[in-house]
Amino acid sequence: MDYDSTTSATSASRAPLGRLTTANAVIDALGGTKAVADLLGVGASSVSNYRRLGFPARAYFSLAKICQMRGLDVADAVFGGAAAPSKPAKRQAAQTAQSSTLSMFATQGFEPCHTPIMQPAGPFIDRLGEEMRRRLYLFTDPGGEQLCLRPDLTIPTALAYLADYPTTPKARLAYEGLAFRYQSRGAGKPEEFYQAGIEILASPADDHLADEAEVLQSIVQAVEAAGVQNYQIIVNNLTMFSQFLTALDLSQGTTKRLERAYHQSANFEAVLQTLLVEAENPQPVRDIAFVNGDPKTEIAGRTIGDINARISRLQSEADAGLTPAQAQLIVQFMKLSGPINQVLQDIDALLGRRNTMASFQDYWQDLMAAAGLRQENPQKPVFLATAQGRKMAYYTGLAFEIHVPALNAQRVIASGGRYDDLLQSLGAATPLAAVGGALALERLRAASQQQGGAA
Amino acid sequence: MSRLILGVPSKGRLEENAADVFAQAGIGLKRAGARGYTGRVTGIDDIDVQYISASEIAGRLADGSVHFGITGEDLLREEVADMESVIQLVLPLGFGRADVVVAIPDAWADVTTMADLAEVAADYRARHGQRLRVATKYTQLCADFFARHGVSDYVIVQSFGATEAAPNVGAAEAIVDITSTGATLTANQLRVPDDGVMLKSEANLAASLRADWSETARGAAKTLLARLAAYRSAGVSRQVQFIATANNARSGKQQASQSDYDDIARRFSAQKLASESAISMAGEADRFLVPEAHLQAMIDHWMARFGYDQAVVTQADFIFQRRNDLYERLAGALL
Repeated sequence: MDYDSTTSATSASRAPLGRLTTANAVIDALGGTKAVADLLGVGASSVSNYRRLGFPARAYFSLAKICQMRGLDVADAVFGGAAAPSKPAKRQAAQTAQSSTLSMFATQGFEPCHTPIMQPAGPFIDRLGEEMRRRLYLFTDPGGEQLCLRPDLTIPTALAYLADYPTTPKARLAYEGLAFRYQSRGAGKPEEFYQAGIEILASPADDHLADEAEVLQSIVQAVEAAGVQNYQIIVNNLTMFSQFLTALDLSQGTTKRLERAYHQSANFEAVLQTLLVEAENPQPVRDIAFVNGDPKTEIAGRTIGDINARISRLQSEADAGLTPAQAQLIVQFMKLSGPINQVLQDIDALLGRRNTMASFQDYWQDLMAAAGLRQENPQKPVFLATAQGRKMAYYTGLAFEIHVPALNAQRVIASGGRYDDLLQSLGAATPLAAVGGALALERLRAASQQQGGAA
Repeated sequence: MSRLILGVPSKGRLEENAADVFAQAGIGLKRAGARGYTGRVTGIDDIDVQYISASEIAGRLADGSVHFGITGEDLLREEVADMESVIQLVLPLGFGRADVVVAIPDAWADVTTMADLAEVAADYRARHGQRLRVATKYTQLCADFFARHGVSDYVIVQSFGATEAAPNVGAAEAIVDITSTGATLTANQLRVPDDGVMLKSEANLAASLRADWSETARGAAKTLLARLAAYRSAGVSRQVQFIATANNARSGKQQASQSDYDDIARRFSAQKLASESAISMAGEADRFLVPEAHLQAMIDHWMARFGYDQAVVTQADFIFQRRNDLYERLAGALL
């Protein structure tokens, strides 16, 4: 399909109006307060405020595009100096594809949210897993501030939410835009790509399952709307690993170490290998002398009391490490992948007990039902993979990916999950729930073209 | 055609040591005036020497504007992303030895391994809401090493000097730094965890795989590497000649056979040298080339087996090989 010609036909059919220089004039040209409120998915009173105060930054991008589509000539200053998006011909294709995804999210009640491409580096360095951290484009601006190009839109959207909503009410946000990730030479993947996605933030606990189902469903709908009919949905819930470790009855230190490695390290295998070597060569009880001094005295941020408490714990658990058999079970657990119930049975088989994951049996059943997913559909099967979702380092529960295996290295066309500790770590006063998902738009189009769909 | 460019540190101990190592190998680095920034190599045409600030040599190798450079492995690994695909470590030069290590406050008695540090870092973050700070100039090496050891709850604080003071002045909780004796760490009440040595570094002759390797440059590289390799293998090998005295304890003893030579080749990497005809006729004096590390064991073995009275050991200045392994390895990577 030639997106280029559709776009220019649209603009050519409208006679350009006079240049609009204020938010007030733009709102009128777009059909008034109510019309703009609907376009942006916000209340009419917000739009009344925009008339006086100008548009909020998160609305710049979507409004600029709407104005462009309608052939309105708007002064750059109205959108914070950002020119209406004018893309070279090649980009225009992606641009149009995006709009349809974003507007679909808008009709589902997600408020479009614009975030800057350049972001403060701190939150990303702090939050991303090691692998992603190393793929960050980092630079220092002339004023000396450390910035990065956004590697995804989740953290920027979360930051925008925290900046705009000091009272942190529940929010449903949608976004689209470019993200940037370094790729090692010869990887054959683009370093610059479009993402579109949704986030449900600060929901009460009762809504969590429904939110997860809704995100999963919306992302799947966006995939299907792009004309992709053959795909796999790979799901996981990272808390299953914790439950598995609990069932293994490991020492506190070992459990913590494994959980950390599972959640945050790109080198889980290396950590497990170390544990295995330790297991095969049992260490003698660690004979560490207690540190003398006032327990309240701090040494580089740790009190002598803390240090001594940890020494006592190490001495008591020195011989309660991981056994080779337990390590083998963990290795096997990490490899499990298949239909959900099959994997749950496999876990029972590993542990030699029944119903070890009973709570997850209900969870998955309810989630699949609420999201309207039929696991046995051969064109779009659902698999549970126990190692899924560890790469981004911020998922805390559900993690999912949608794969089109025919795209090989670029098979992941969408991903998402729950990350309940993200907002607080970015500055929210209390823990706030968050669940979201995103589509890789270029890959989505490639999949669509391959499957002969209408992109 | 472009000549071979060799980047040499422009001042201080590094420059002196580089000049010494090359001089011992019979290669003179001649600087154009004491403060000049160019020079040449005596005896090998087609090499231009550039004297470059030590901190820039890694970058020059990475962008291919020098063919060879002399610099520390630590700087190469730190400053060049995907180092292995851009730069080849051709030859360790035996100076500038230092370890890149992790160091933590000595009073953190409960932290003796990197696994301990990973756990303490996680606790630290849970308790303070902030990540443990690690001061270093080796940000890439640190990130790689910490990832391998499952340490994720930390943040790097850039430090370009007096890094070892950072924990004491409250600028960081731990450091990653270079140390040769460990004395500075001890003086600052810091300690290296048991598995906290990240890299044992020394100065290397490194080659840029991105440089313009013209025939001229390759030819010069081949000569330079043959010379360095010949010197290097002479340094680690000894020539041994076994001698039996006149009233010969050896009479009646058996002659060494091919299987004896094979045996010592396997056990001691000892290489039999073709005997000179005069000595050969006397039938008494096989000569061998033996790695220094196996020298004593080989001599003991051979004397006991064949009843020699003496072994005369000499060291060659150069041992040239027809096969130029260093160059072959480089040429292989350049294809």
